[in-house]
Amino acid sequence: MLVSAFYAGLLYFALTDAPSWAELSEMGQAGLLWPVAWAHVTGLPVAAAVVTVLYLTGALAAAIAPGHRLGRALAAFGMLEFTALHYSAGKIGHGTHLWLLAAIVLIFLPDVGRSPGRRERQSYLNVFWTAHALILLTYSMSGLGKLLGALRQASQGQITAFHPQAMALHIADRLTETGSRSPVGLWLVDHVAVSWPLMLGTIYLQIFTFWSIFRPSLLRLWTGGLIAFHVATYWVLGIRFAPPILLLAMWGLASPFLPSQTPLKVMLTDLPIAGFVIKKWLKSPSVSHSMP
Amino acid sequence: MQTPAHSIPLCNSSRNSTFAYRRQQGWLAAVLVVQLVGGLAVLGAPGQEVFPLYSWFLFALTPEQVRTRAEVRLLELDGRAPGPAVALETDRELVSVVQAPTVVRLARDLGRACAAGNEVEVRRLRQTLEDNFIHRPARYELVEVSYHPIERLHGGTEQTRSVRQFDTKVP
Repeated sequence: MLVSAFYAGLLYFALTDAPSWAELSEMGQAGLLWPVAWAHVTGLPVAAAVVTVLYLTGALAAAIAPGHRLGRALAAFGMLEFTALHYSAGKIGHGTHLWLLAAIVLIFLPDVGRSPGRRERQSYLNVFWTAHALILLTYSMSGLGKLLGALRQASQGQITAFHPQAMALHIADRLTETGSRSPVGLWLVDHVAVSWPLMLGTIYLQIFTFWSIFRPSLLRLWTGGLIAFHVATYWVLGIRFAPPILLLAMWGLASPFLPSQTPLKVMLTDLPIAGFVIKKWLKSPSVSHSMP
Repeated sequence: MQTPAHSIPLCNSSRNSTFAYRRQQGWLAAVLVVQLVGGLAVLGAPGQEVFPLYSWFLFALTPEQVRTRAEVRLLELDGRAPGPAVALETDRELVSVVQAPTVVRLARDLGRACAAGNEVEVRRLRQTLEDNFIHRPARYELVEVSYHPIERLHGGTEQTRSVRQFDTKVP
């Protein structure tokens, strides 16, 4: 069901992205990415039309028959080509990268037939789990980047991501660079007491995102946190990352691995680092005696 | 005691299926390792990316309190000065908000190429900039700007140094 929903979402993106083929056909040929290097031969107008048709056809085929590998492969290939052309000419953008990575992994879903056995179902879930884990891993890499960046800057005596002004500097730098305005961003720049904990919380959330795929009790909480993070970056920095929100919500909030109920105590003790401290605290005689 | 006839083929099938399952688990784990190791490996690549492998090191470095960066400023467009020269990425007629970070990066790379005296890279970056964002006959300047981000956001001062001027016809 979630795989079908994935390809329905992909078809929606293909349809909403399709009108940009006209813009792509007028793009300069300098800086084409490797999957669309052939556009040097055909020219941009032909290449833009071809990749748009490929993207639409593949997404439609996979949405109609998500159980067929050929359709899924065509969908991934079409998306790879379209995304490569869209992000050519030095353009920066990663809005649909997570969908593309997931589409590539989902090609390898096994054919389970009408009445799959236990092993077939496990194999199917393994591929699905890996696609989800791959998405969550990118957030942990982002958190890791902030941690390594902070270590490097600390060694050079510079302000790091853990400094109270770090988020204010990020916001100010981004808004001045892009010439965009954000009332929420401006407010946060002037209220470090709010922006500092948000920055520290973001780093914690990102670093341990990958952890949540191994702790189903935390998956819903972490998914909610990541969605809130994307909404916040839009309001504060003007960075719109809508496609990942849909993917996170679909797979994180409706995951087949989610427990039906998660007691608060389990959730708290499963938290990375903090959970270890909470577990110790709960085991301490003063708390365990007072608990019923 | 006699072994049932069907038990041997079943056992082999089960062994094969276990092997296939383990093999699948192996390559699925490899996918995650490739993402992690590949992401770290492309850190040195332009834009930290070898498409579609990306480092995901977003906002990894905190901006310094005195920030120095390269900016492209339009001096003439279609033979006319467009008022006071402003950074190309903030000119909403030529560059949208979504495109602005790309122009910022191109200006940064152009500044680095100029400083290194790499004329091949300068020509390539100019062509990307001119084909995709300027489109029209223009004269533009690469400048080095120094400022405090928070002060600049509140209308504070900045210091600029001219690096080089270009005309849109790439030789």
